Amino acid sequence: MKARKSIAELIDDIRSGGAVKIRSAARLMTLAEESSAKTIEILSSLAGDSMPRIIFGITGAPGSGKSLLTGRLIEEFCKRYPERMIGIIAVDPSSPFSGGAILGDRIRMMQHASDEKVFIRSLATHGQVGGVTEGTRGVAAIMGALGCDMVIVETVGVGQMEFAVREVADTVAIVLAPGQGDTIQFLKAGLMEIGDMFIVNKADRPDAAQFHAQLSNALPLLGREDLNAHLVSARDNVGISGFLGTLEEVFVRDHKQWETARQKYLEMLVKRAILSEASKRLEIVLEKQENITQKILKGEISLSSCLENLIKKLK
Amino acid sequence: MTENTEKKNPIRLLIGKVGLDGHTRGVYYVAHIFRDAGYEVIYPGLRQKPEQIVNTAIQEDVQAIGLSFLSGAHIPLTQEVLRLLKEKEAEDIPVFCGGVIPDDDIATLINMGIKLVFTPGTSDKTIIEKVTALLAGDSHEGA
Repeated sequence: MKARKSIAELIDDIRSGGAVKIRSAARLMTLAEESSAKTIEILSSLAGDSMPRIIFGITGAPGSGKSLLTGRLIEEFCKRYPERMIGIIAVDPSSPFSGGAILGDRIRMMQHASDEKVFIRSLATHGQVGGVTEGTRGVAAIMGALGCDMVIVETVGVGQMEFAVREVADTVAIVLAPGQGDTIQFLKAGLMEIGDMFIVNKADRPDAAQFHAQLSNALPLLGREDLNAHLVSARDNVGISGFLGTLEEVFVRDHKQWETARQKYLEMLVKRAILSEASKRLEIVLEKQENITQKILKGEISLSSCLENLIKKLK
Repeated sequence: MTENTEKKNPIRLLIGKVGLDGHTRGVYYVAHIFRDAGYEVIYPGLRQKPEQIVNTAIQEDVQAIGLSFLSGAHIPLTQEVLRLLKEKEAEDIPVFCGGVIPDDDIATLINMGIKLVFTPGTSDKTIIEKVTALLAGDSHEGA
């Protein structure tokens, strides 16, 4: 049995380009998911490596067709750019009870599993809300270092309040399907505000055209008259090619702004990692204080002096 | 401070079916019991080629592969999975099997390098315990 390799060794493997490249990249992704500190170590080590040209987020309610749509986008991407690599990060929920998960987004993409130009990685949320994981950006960077031109981040099936994909992706499409409400749903705050693009999937269904018209009429009311809602059918592979074309246009128009946004996000990740590490370390010290919560509740010690004490003990 | 603040993420497994075999009941059940035991289960869907299983296992960095059979083709298909794992320098990923597997074939599978074989009637507890024990001896999990 082989000993576990360090982050630096795994990165060397990726750069060396041998047979072990894919395996080491996959192992590195596991580490990126383990802690925010490791994500930052990986991101800083890969700072000079190539990054994905486009990090594209796909989000929407469970069952709206995100995975099949992603599968179709892979197909179209490979047809259009046979020499380029594409990476997929597919997030599914962890159980709040056992911590386990069934990661099944790949099912809709398996025809690409033996394609060397396609790297699909499933991630579980591990109790994080927001629709993607803390390590997602690290995984995207590793895909970039492998040579992925585009990375698609498919979120968990979301409700109205999962926005984290907006931070990690350059641009986000919201997938909707007929039957998911009327104009008033489109006007509500939350998810609908974070879309840079809208996709109405399941065009094969009879009520899709009406739903698409309602959404198109609502977009100006949202102040998004610049946007089109794309009517597609992932099932019948209709409208996918046109959508990929639009995505490329958006890249040409916006990629300079994306660069700035990426930099800001990375800095925010570093701050979060520092705070998360600090909180974990404080927790260890806190656990060693006997009856501290009782003492605070009884007013024997104030919360802020307790905190001062904990911080002193950290040194 | 050098205290360890790392939390361990759940163990990742690929639980799948390979070849022309559409019987899902067993594989769904096993995926489910591993989920409830706190494992992350990558389920790639039905009728996978050995190559798809092996590529998925590598990309997903799983710690073991569990394959379910009701087709009778368990020997040639697992043989191909093991061969591809070796070819891709991933033979350290252990493979276990379950399903309708005749007694006479169990020894053959074990000799080929399959780590565990579960036949119908095995309790969920036994499956979880044996796989957990198998992986506890795996360096991938340790330091």
